[in-house]
Amino acid sequence: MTNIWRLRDRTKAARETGAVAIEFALLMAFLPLTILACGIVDYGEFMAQATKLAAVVRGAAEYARGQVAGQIANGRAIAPPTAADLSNLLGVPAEVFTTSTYCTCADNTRVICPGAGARNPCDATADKRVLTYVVVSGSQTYTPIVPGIWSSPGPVNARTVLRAK
Amino acid sequence: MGSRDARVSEAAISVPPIWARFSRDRRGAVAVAVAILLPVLIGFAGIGIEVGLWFAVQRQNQSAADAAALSAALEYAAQIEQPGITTNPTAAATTAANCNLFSTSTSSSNAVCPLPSSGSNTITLYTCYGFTVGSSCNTSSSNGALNAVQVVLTQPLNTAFANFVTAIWGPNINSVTVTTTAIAQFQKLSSSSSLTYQVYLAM
Repeated sequence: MTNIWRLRDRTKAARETGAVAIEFALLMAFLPLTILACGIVDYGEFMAQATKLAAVVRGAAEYARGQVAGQIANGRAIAPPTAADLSNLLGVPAEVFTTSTYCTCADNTRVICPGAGARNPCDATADKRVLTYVVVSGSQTYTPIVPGIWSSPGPVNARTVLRAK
Repeated sequence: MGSRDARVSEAAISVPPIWARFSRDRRGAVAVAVAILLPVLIGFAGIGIEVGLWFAVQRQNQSAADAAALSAALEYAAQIEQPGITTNPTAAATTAANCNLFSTSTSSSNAVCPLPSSGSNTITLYTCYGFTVGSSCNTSSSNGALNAVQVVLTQPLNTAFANFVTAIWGPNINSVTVTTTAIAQFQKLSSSSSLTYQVYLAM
């Protein structure tokens, strides 16, 4: 075991050998701080939340598409799942979701979606088809871990449009 | 005394005393090393962020490809359901892709989901014959009946960090192409007496 009192007696060069290691250790202590302060951690967290929301909205859109396609096939009124339905299904707060539908004719002109048994708004077009789209949007706020670096809280948005018929 | 003077003057001739002292001085050596290493560290962090961005674009485009494949499959199903009508699967696929934020060269004329056009992005449709879930798209009609459609989206991305860092080592990567593929199958509902087709995504 080294007697630390004997270190005084070593030469100048020998006494400086550990200095570089200590200097490096001090710098390493500041590195995580810069990673936090530069928003790198926040960027990762933001991207993770955005990816999760995109996946949830995507899943919700496929469910909504299936529901609406079934309603059309059975001649019922078109009603996309409500935000509350999606919330129960996916375990995500209902205020995150917005659902809607819109319809066009085959030539891409917007028409009002016909109710069950209503007159076909695309009667005048060549193939008379009504294309029905389902829109599911998701919106959340991201609160940065390190306040003040980013404009807080930032919005996280996702939107999927799928055609049901 | 005389010998010490001689040593100093020798050093003065070969290297200026300040450099001789600087090269011998070990204080702050780590700071210098960190200063040199920092651009490298930042470069790697930049590459990490950039590659993450490529995958984020791919994730977004996957939704667009899926929506496009579903829309195109509905057009093919409509063709079978109502013989005699003319449908346009490519236009329907383009509209659906535009609605999910994938720009195409023809999107400026899209009234449903207006989006700035992008000439470098492509959308390609392939018709699949005798498709079964899990297999790949067979475009030869000798394989069976037309029952699925494959949509391939490509989007070239200009690189910033990757371009800079790879330029140091050799062949620089100044562009990457993000490709996404989706297949939608359409099949007759066997339980239904009327000719109804169901359309779903098949990967």
